[in-house]
Order: sequence, then C-alpha cells, then structure tokens
Amino acid sequence: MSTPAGNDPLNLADLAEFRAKAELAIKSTKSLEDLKAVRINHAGDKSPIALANRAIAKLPAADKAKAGALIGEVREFINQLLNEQLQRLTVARNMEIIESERVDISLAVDQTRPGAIHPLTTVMNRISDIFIAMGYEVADGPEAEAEWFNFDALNIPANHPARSMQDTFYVNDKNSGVVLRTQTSPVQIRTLLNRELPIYIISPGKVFRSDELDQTHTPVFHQVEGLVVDKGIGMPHLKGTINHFAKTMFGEDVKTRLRPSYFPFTEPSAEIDIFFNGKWIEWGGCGVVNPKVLQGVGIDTDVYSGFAFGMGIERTLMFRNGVTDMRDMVEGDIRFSQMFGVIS
Amino acid sequence: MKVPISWINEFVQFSDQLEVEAIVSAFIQLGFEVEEIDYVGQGISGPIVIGRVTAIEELSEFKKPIRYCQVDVGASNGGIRGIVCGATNFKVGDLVITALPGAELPGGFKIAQRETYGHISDGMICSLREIGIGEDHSGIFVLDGNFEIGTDAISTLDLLDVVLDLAVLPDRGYALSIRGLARELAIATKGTFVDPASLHEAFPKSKTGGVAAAISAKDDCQSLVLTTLKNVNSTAVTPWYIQRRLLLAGMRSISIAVDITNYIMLETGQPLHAFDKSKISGSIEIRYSNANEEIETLDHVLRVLGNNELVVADKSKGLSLAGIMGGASSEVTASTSNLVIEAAHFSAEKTSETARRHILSSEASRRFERGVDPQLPAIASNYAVKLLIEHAGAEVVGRNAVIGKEKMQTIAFNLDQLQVISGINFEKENLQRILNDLGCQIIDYDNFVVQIPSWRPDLLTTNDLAEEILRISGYDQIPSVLIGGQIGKGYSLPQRLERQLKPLLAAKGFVEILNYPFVSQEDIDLAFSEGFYTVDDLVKIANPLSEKEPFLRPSLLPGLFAAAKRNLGRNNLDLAVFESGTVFTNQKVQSASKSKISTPPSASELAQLDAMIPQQQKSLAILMIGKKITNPALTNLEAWQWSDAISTGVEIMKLLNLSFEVVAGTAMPWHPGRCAEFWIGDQLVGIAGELHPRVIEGFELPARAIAIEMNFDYLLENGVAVVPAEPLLMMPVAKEDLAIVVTDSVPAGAVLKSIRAAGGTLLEQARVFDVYKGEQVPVGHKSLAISLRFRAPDRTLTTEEVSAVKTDILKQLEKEFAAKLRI
Repeated sequence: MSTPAGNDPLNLADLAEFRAKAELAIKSTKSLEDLKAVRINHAGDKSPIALANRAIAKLPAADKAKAGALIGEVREFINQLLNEQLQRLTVARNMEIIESERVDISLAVDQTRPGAIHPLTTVMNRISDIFIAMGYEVADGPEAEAEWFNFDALNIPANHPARSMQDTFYVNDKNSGVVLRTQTSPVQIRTLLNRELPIYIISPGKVFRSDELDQTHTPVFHQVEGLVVDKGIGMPHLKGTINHFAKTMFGEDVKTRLRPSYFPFTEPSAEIDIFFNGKWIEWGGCGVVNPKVLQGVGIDTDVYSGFAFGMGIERTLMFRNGVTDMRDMVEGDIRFSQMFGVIS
Repeated sequence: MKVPISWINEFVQFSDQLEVEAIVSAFIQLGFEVEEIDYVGQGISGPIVIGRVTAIEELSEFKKPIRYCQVDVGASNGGIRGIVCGATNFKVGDLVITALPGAELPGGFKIAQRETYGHISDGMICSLREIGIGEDHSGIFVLDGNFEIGTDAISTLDLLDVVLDLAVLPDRGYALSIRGLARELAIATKGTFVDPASLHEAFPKSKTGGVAAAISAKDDCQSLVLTTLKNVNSTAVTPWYIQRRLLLAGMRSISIAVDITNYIMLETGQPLHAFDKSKISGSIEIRYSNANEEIETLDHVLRVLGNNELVVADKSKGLSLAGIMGGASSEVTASTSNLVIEAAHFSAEKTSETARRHILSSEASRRFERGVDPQLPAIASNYAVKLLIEHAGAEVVGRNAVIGKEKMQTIAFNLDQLQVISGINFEKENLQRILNDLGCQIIDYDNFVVQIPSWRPDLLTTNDLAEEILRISGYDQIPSVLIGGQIGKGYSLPQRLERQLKPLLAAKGFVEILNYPFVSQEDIDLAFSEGFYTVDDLVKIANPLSEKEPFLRPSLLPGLFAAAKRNLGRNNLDLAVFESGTVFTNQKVQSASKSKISTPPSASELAQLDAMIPQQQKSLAILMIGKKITNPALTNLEAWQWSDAISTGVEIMKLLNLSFEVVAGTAMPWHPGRCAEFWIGDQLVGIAGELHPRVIEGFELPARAIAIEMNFDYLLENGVAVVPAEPLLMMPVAKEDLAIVVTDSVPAGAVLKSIRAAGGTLLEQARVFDVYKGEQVPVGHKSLAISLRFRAPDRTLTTEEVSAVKTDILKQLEKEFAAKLRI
C-alpha cells in the first residue's frame, strides 16, 4: 500500500485496492446498521476515494480529466454496490419484521355474538319501507286506548264477542271505557279524524288480547294494518296492493288468494291466504272499509271509499323465517334476537 | 258446525254427483272454512249384520262381568252364533250390530273367530264408537225399530258418510243450519235447492187451545208459538236416522222430545224448547226479568238475573233464559207425558247481551245471536209436532201463537257503487240470477230495489249485497289493480331517528328484546323506593292474565331485570339488552260518561276521550350485566362499570345531535353515588349509572350491573331535523396542559363547563386526562390534569394570545372553585 494511500488520484493500483476493499466490505454487511458504517468508511467524506477525489485539484491541468474519469468510475461502482446492498438488506429487514409480527388470526374469530335488533322490529321496518316506497305514511297511536276508538268507531257493537272479558284487557275496571287496544285499527280512526283526505297509511304496533302464552299464542303481539281512503277505491285496489306487498315480502313466486270473511269494519271482507313453501297459509284479513265506519267520522261516502288490511307480525315471522315457538319471541332470551343480527 | 254431507244432499239435487273435494272447495270459496273432514266409517267392510240376542250366559269367574251370548244373525249368515261380550247393557231379544269374522271396523280392526274367556267367540257385538259413529263406548249399541235379522248393517244403518266441520262467520246466522248450507252449496254448484222449510206447513195463526201464549217483551220477541201435546211416550226410542244425524253433528241422543227439537234446529236453524206441561202453571209469557229473579238452568247453575233480561215464564215463575237455556224446574223427563213445545223468535241483541252476562253459550243462543229466520217458528213447531206424533205417539191438545208482523227489508242496490267495490261490470241479468238464488227479489227494476229474504237480517246495505255478489261470483274474479304514486312525506322525524339509532345500539353489542308491559307491585316496589309509585300513579288492568302482575309498567327497567334473570337462568351470563316501548303512568282513567259520542264526534268529545286514557310515553332502556363482550384470548374480559352507562347515554345524545347537560342524580333504581341525570334545558330526559345494590340483590342480578332509561319520545321529537354545518378550522392548533387542585366535591364536569365558558371562542377543546390524589395534594383535594386546545379561524395564535386566555381560565377557576394551579 502506498503512503499516503489514496492521495494520488492517478495511482491505479490504489484505486483498484479501494475498489476491492469497498466491494468486500459492502458485500459482507449483514444489516442496515453495518451498511451505514461501511458507507461512511468507503463512500463518506473521509473515505480514501473522497480523499483521492479531493487531490485532483492539485494535479496538473492536463491530468485532471483523466484522474476525474478514473475516480468517477470507482465512485460509481461503489455507490451502485451500496444501493444494491441497501435494497437487499431493506427487504431482508422488512421480511424479518413481518415474520416476527405474524399472529394467529383465527384467535380474532371470536364466537361471541354481537348486538341485534329484535326480528319483529325488523319485519315491521321492512313492511314500513315497502309502503313508504308506495307513498304511504306510517301512523301510530296509544296502546291504552278509549273503547270508543277500539270498538264503537269500528262498528263493533256493544255485545260483540270481541268485547267480552275473555278477549280484551280492560284498564281500571270493565266500565272504564279504556282498554288495551285489541288491534291497531283505532289508529285508523284517529288518522281518519286527524288527517286530510286522501289517506294512505300503515300502522304497525303492539296489540293485546287476553290469551295465555303458548307455542302459538301470546297475549301481547304485533300487527300491521293498512288503510287507504280516496275517491273510487274498491276491492281491485286492495287486491293489487296485497299482491304487491306479498311479492315484495315473500318473493315473486308467492301466490295470494282472497276468501270471503267477516269483520265488522269492512264489507265486503276477506281473508288473505298466501301460498308459501308449498301450502296455503292464512296471513291476514282485509276488505272494503264499511261505509258506516267512514260515515261515523264524517266522511262523505258518496265520494270517498277505502280499503283496509291487517296481519300479525309474529305469525309472519313464524312462517317466513321458520320460528316454531312463539315463546322465543317474547321471553327476551338474547340468543333469539342474536340469530337475526339487524335484519330478518 | 258439523254437517253430514248426506243430510245436505237431501236438499240439493246435483246434475252430477259431487266429489267431496268439490264440495269442500265450494264451501271455502263461499267463505266457510272447512276445519275438519271426517270420513265416517272409513275402512269398514262386511260382513256386519243386524242380529238378535237369543240367549245370554253370564260368566262370573272373571275380574269383570263377561257374557257369552247367542246371537241370531240370519240363516244366510250361519244362523245363531256364540259371541263373547264385555258389555252388559242389553237383554235377550235386543237387536244388535254384529261384526262377523272377516269384517273390518274403522281404524283397521279386523274381526276373526277366536277363543276367549273359555269360549269360541264367533264375531263381535259393536258399540257406536266401534262402527265409527260418535264417541259412545259405554256399552254396545241396541237398535230399536223394524230391522230384519241378517241384513247388512253398513247400508241399512248408513254407516258411511262424510262430515264437514264448517266455521260459520258471525254475520251468517242462516248458515247454522242444513237449510242455509244446502242453499249455499246449491248456488255454488249450480244444483237445485229444495228448501226444507217449504216441506212443512206453516202453523195456523188461530188459537185452538192448550197453554196460552203472550209476549210482553215486544221489543225483543217477535213471535211465540206454543203447541200443547198429551200422551207423549217419553221413553220412545229416537229413530235411527235422527240419532245418526245428531251423533254425526256432534250431539248426544237424550230423549225423544229433546232429540226431535235438536234435529229440527240443526235442519232448519230454529231453536225449539220442550217443557213438561205438568210443571207449568197457567199460560206462558215472554217477559223481562225483575232484578234478582232466579232461574236454575238445565246445567244446574242457579242464575241470578238482572233487570231487563228476557225470560220465558209461567204465571208464577221464570221457566227458562229465553233463547239461551231451559230451566231445571220444567225439564222433560222419562215420565213426562204432557209437553209444551216452544218456538219463538228472540232478538239477537238481547240474546247476545244475556249470554255474555251469564258467560253461557248454547246451540240456541249461538243461533239467536247471529239471527234466525223470523218465519221459522210457525214452520218448525209444526215439523216438531209431526215428528212427535209419528215417533212418540203424541196427540195435539191445542196450539196458541202470537206472530209479530214481519218487516220486509229492502235495499236500493247502488250499481255504481257495486262497480267501484268490485271492479267488475256485472250484467243486470247476472245480478238478478245471483240475488234470486240467494232468496232476494228485485221489486223495482228501474232503481234496482232488492227485497231481502227473511233469513238474511245481515243484508242491510249496498256493500252487504256487493259482498254476496262477489262471494257467489268468486273473489278470484276481482281484478288486481295496483295503486301507488301517492305523495307521501316518508318517515316522520321521530320514526326516522328511531330507525337510525337502533342499529347503532346493536352495533355497540346491545340486543333488543320486547317484554310484556305487565308488572307486579312487588317488582315496582323493589325497583323503586317503596311508595315512589302509588296505586294512583300506576295504570291497573281490570282483568290481568296473572293476578300477580296487574299493573302496566311505569318504566322499562323491571321488565329488563326480569328478562336478564331469565337469561341468567339459561346461562347467558354476560349481556347488554335494550328495549324501546311504551311506559304508562299518571292514571287519569275515569269511568266513561255514558253519553253517546256523536257522529262525527265533536272536538270536545274527542278531547274527553283523550283525557280518559292514561299518560303514555315511549321509553328507551338499556341494561348491561356481567362482562363486556370482548375476546378472552386476546384481551382481558372487562366488566361493565358505572361510566359505561353514562358514556352510552352521552353517545346516544350525540348521535341524535342534542345539546344536553349531565349532573349527578339520586333516583332509584340507581346507586345514589353512581347515577347521572341527563337534562335538555329544564327537561330531565334520562338517567344512567350503576344500579342500587338493593335492586341488584332483589332482582338477583350480578354485582355492578348498570342501566340507562331515557324519555325516548322527548329525544326523538326534539331531534334536530336539519343539522347546521360549521366550517372546519384549518389554522394550526396550540396545545396547553393545565393541572389544578380542587376539593373532592367539585365535579370535573363543572370545571370543564367553567373552562369552556372562560375560554371563549379560541378554546377548541378541554378534556380531563388525569385525576390524581396523594402526595403533594392536600387531603380532601384532588388534582385534575386538563388538556386544552386553542385555535383561531383566521390566524396562527401567538404564545401571548394563548397565555392570556389560559390566565382568564385560571382566574375563573380560582373564583368559582378556589382552584389552585398545581406546580
């Protein structure tokens, strides 16, 4: 090795030595930290090659270009090696970090169920959405209701079986004139009294009948009723609406059937059957609003007529979703709601 | 109503014999649900013959009485056969139904010769149940009448039939009879109907003797026909064809007189009643009862009558509850030889009122309540007399009748309205045919005025006739027209907010449940301080399902506690449940005024109705017990604590964009030191925190359970419809920390509120990030570390500006809370 080493930019042997040492040092690095030190030693301000470069200034003008080319070539070589090694070591370092951070992702697949909305709520929401999309609005009313709204105004005479103690919960005493509504129909009467015609509403909600809880009965259940009052409304519009409702709710293949029936507040009246999962199922009741009901709230039945329909939500959930025991819906066992999440 | 098809067929002539399926589907189309189809005698096959018992040997060596009988089954069936029988209700000479070896009884029971009780039994003597008719299995069936020994019992006794159990709707009283149903079936199947009522002469109106008839309750009794009979053989056996039909219709055979009245009721729809004349004094009158008048009805219940109920009475006493049930005092027995047959027309309203008052429903009351043809009493009573003469040797003493004048109901059928209701343009001829089939007559073609038949009191309006026209034409003929495109405004603000909030609660891990609103006094007292809700504050059910739970919930929490307990019992130990539902308080219910509401109701009447009902409010409650739902493999399971209840309340308020304040509260059922009240202005809108240890113990909940209840109605109704936006500030933020020492009793919330007020518009955020007690902090004091963020909309704040505000804040805190800066 010449002394002082590296000071002669034209000493080819020195340059070759710098080059060989740098190459060996760079290629021997095992980490980014090593590389950082090697870079300082072999390409830094005080590295032999930097010193040789600085010495060019002292050379005769005729030699400067040649020396510059020689040193430039070596510097180029070392820098390229450094960059290649930097890339190699960075990849290796990242691989190592990632490997060290590897987890068992299956642990995060916890078996715990999240929160949920009760499926009766989501069924009612779904029904509301269908009718909102058809231009209806959603109406509600009190659950403890004046008997007049629940019975009289709906053309249910005083001695109708539905009024007897077996079916109706009376508030306070049997003659108080206040009951827990046995149907959501009192909302229809309130709507007829409070809203401008024409009326297109549905009223989902809780209703009460004094039946003991068992697999297929519950004293507190939910209904949705629909009411339309407009000019020239009849059974065809009812049928069209029920068909659309059923198809939206149960799929295009569902069939519906109207069967003559009796309700005091509709005439003609019908039962709604749907053909679902291979059999006819009774879904609800409907009919043309009895003109007596409309007249009772001051509507001119020569001009206006209407239709109404109603169905049980528990029942709908039972056959639509295959719930086999009504008690599951009312006992508040979280596992029941959790089955459904926020949909049904 | 159970209807043997053979009975209906007696009055309908079809061009082709109808299959059972066709009859069933016709009834369904007409609006009669077929609840059951009973193929009577299905599987029965001969040889089953009529035999006569010729000898009985009693075998006494067994545990029960056994008879070895000789039965003559006719020469062609092998003459006399030995048959072992376990029944004892027959004697030598009796006619019995005998199943011979090779026969098969309904249910697949094959008869074969076999050895039993030490004898060869060469067949079986049958009970009614064994041949598939009725349920009687108390003994074997003894036939009465002219039957030839050895004839085939299956055809002779009509053991094969089909019985339909039809659900008759409450407005169709006429259909609670073979007459009504046969007419319907004939219309639907285009058969020819023969009216059974037309086969019997109407009763002459003249009075010819016997017990006299009178009606004083004229508003509720239109007609009364009495026939007095003598020499009635009350022990005569009811003819088989009547017995069979009664049995198939689900009635027992009782006695000749009772069977005949029941038979005619089933066939025509007219209830009849037979009195033992010897137990009646003087004439019979239909009158209103006097208060506290007593009648023991046939079911041996002493009925105490109110004022104004309808009774059939003699000179001295009430005999029966008119149209509902006969009385024990005048009951027909085996020794009765003088009979009075009553056929009357009672009003639907009065029958229904009385039946409900006594919670007593009978075959008669079911019919009168739904309306009986007023022309029937005269016809049905004549029919009954004819059968009693024929089968019980009765002789007519005399007849008395009061027949009211019949009101003919007519309807001006509005054909335009029919078109609107049905969507079908009916030809007038078609309408006329359907109406005629139903028994209506068109008495004015120009205005289409329709006269309604006496048996259809339910037909009153164009809509009623429209239903009949559609029912007969078929509801499937109605076109389907979808209307839509109405201008709706979508969900209301409260509906929208509730819809949007619930999924967010679910996303927090809360599970919605829907509890019954019924609650016990015990649970209310347990959840709230005793006396907090007095009986006057609560709404009570007059007829609760459980006497233990007569109240409507004033809060959702007791229901959630009970549901949590059920979950714990099923090993669902960690749960957060919520419910949104009505709570009921402040009972204002007064007895309704008896004044009738006008049509339409006036504003003051509606206000009066609304004033009657209890106060009702939608509430939202959440209960969290046990551990938060986290993953035990990755994190420690952390228990719910008091702050989670409050922060959940805060989140709800913020999601609904409501401005609110939170202050410490002490309400039950919360822990008085761990309870927060949420206020909007001067309205208390919610309470959250840890539950009171007493409540936790009482409801057997795990320790540290937490809960929230909010006035959901208020939150939803006062939700922000449109949120005003503010520009986002983009200038750099200046951060400062502050540590102050205050006495323990100063709430952090109050300090922050004061900081925010003093900080003015430049203070963007102030948060407590540490609470410290211990060294360097005097006893009874705490140190609050608070981070402050300042920002101006238009410039970078200078150090001088920030410290000026910070000084203002400190001054304010010192003034308000004697707070000291902690050095």
